[in-house]
This record gives sequence, C-alpha cells and structure tokens, in this order.
Amino acid sequence: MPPSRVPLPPWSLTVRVLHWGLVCCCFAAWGTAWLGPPSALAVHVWVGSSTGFILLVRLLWGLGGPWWERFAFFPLRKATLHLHTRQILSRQYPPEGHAWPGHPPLGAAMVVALLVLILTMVLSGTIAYGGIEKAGPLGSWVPFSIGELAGTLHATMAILLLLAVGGHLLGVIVESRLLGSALVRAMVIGRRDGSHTPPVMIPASLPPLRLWGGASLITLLVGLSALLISGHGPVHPLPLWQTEEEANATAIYEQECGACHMAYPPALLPASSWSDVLATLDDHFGEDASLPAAKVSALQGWLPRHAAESWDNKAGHAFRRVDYHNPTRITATPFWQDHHRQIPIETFRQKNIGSQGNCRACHQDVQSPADSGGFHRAEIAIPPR
Amino acid sequence: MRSLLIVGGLAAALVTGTAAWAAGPRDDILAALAAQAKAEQPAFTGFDAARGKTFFQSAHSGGKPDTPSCTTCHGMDPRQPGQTRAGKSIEPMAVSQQPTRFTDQEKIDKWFERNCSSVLGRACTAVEKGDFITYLSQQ
Repeated sequence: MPPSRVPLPPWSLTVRVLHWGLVCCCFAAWGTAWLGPPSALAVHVWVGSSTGFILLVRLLWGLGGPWWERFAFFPLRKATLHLHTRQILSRQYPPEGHAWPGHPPLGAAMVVALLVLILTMVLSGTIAYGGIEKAGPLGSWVPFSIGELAGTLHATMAILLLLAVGGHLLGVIVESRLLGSALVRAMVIGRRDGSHTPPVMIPASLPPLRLWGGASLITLLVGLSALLISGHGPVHPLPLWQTEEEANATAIYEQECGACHMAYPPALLPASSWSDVLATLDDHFGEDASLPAAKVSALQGWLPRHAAESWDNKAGHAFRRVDYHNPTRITATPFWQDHHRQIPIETFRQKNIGSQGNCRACHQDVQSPADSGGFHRAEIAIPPR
Repeated sequence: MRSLLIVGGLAAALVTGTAAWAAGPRDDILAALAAQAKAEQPAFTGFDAARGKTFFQSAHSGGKPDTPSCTTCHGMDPRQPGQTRAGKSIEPMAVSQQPTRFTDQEKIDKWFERNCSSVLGRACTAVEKGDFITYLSQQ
C-alpha cells in the first residue's frame, strides 16, 4: 500500500487519560513534598505509586497502541530534530505538504525526556522510601546510605522535572500558535485537526501489533485495583528471637526508666551517651535516679546493643550525632533541634503532650523501646489542644 | 446448693484475704518504721499526720535545685495526680485514691532513697518517712 494522506488522527482515550493523570500526579507530588506537613508523605507515596502505574501503562501503550502513539514512530532522528527546529525558527511551519502524525520531533523529544525524568523520580523515590523510612516494597532491602543518596537525587530531579514541564508548556504554546490549533483542547477531546492543519502521511506498512495494547489495558486495571487494596505503611521488622537476658533487660528498661518518662527508644542516642547516662544516674537531669547495681549492669549490656549505631534507619543515623556540651540529652541533638524548631513551646506544654520528652504523643508508631522506635513520617500527628 | 455454698465461701475468703493484704503490709511497714524511730530518737511517741503534711508541702534546702519539694512533682493536693519533670503523669499519692500505696517495701525504699536525695540531699529519717506515710494514708 503506498503512503496516503489522512486527516490528523485523534489522541486515543488512553493517552489522554494517562496524560492528565500524570499532570495531576506531578502537581500532587510537588505539593505534598514542598508545601505539606511531614505526614503528607503518606499521600506523596500513594501519588508516586499511581505515577509508577501510569508510566508502566504508557510504556506498554507506546509499544502497542495506535501507530502514531508508538515510540517506534517518534520522529527522533537528529536530522529531523534539526529540520523541525529550523522550521520553527524561520516560522515556515507547518511546512507545505504534511504535518507530523504524532508528536512533532521536538515535542517527541520532550515527551521522552519527561517520561525518563518521571520514571527516575518514581525509582529514586521508591529507593529513598525503602532506605530512609524502611517502608514500601524495598523497605527491607535498601541500606540507609543508598536511600539517602536516592533521596538527594529525588529532590534534585524534582526541580529538573519542574523546569522540563515548563519547557513542555512553552513548546505547546509555540506549536499551538504556529499550527493554529489548540493543543491543550486536543489533549482533552482527542480531535486535533484544526483549520490550518495539513493532512498527515501514514506509513506504508502498519505494524500489526495489538498484543501490547491489550497488555497495557490489563496492566491499567490490575494496577488500579492493586493501588486500591494496597497499603503503604512502614515495614515492621520481624520479631527477633529473644534471649531471656534480652527480655529481662527490656523489662527493666521499660519499668525503671519508664517510671518517670517515656522509655525512649535506645536508637535515639549513641552507645557512648548511654554509658554516660548509666554512669551518672545519681544526678540524672537534676534528680537522683539511682538503680541497684544488678539492674545497671543488665542495662549496660542491653543499651549499647540497641543504641543508634545498631539501627540502619533514619532515627539510628540521625541520632548518632549528639550535642557536644549535652551528650545525654536527646532533645539537644542537632537532628532533634532541627526537626522540632517550628513547633511552638506551648504545643509541648499542652496537657495531652506534657513535655518535649513525650515522643509518643505525636509519633504514633513509637511503641516498644526494644525496636527501632518507628518515627515514620506518615505517623506524625500533633494532637489538637 | 452445697457447691453454691463452697463458691460463696471461697469468694468471701478471697475478699477478706485481699482486704487483709491491703491493710496489713502498710501497718507492718509503719510498725517497723516506728521501732526504727524509737531507736533513732528515744523521745519518739508516735507518727503525726500534721508533721507529715508540713514535710510534704514545704520547700527544703540541701537537695537538687530543680526539686525543692515533694510537691514539685506530686502537686499540693495528694488526691490529684502529679507530673514528673519529664511530663509523665504520676498516680495520686493519697491512699484513698490509690489503695496499693505504701504496701510494697521494695518500692517504698527505692523511692524514699532517690527522692530524699533529690529533695533533701540526704536520706530521710524514720520519723520523716513514718509521718509522710501516716499523712498520705489519711488522705
């Protein structure tokens, strides 16, 4: 069949839904990350997962959707990109003869850049969530250091993505004016041949692939249902086999230390600080908190085993650094200070909070001191006055 | 009918047993403290709730500066819950509110040792301890 001319084919419903889905996801992700409270991480992660599914469907659709929406037909040759740039700069656009059936060359390049950027965001976000918060599908697998690296990448790429979206919008405006047709409207209703748009050339041989299109729709359905039923809570470490000595020391810690204040998760101070605490119990933050020698000795074995250095999570890494002048005060550590600076002192004095030492009042996943202490961002809720 | 009687008897025994347990230890503890007080001060004639109240409520010197008085943490009214300096709630000291108060020798020793050191900067005398318990038992 020789190449023939047809009117511009419409954007398929799939591409349109996925496009606006991605738009919503991007803005929701930026909003929850930059403007929301720390607990907005729960929504952020949900949005990120949705973005991942949309991308997956778009990738499959790009392999098997209508031909003008397939990656194989993206006009990305270097010569084509040059030609398109020259046409736009010299305002000889649309060129005589025909328009691009799918995305024009520069637009296609931007689409690929956006998809790659968003894919990187989803991957780096998942790795960061796993490594730092110990949650999500990679929660048990990624070391903290890798998670932190991915987090930095994630934050940097977010700005890059914002710039790319700006470029995309600029391209859409330029193209709309040159073609005399509203591209945004086309992405909503599908039909995109305006009064000035020339017909397009359809390729001589059309690929018969239908399999990928079907697969992408099935993925969409499976993905949506998976999103609806899946939770994104933190991964709790499996209960470890406990020795009698371990259980005994935990009980002493909870009972004795927990008598006057919350039994702080030992991950909140390094081992050296805990040694200091045990050595100075007769003057413990201005009070005599002496313990019988046998109990002190049990805690001397137990506390360093559970101290900050023993945990590859956010609390464990953040609380290894202490205040030089006040090495036993958790609320004096640089991390604590930095992360509670915005909370007014009156809030801590609220009746249902009591003091800065009552972590549990707001960090609702802080339960047994024997575990890492939780401190998942999505579990933070300051109780109302 | 017979089994009902047995159950009733058991229940009665349990109730009186519990009551005896609740009252007994505190009296024994006070008796031991009285013997100690007599040894410390031959002029000792008995514990006094009024003295205990003054001891509980007044500001002392010699202890750690953050804790000048029992009331720093326990509050002026022993029938109300107190609060540690770290913000944790302390159950009322008054026996009427907390019937198990002053029935566990180990617990009594531990907290007198710590808190006398924090508030007074020394160990409490047997008279002070006895007055303290007598006052709070009547609250």
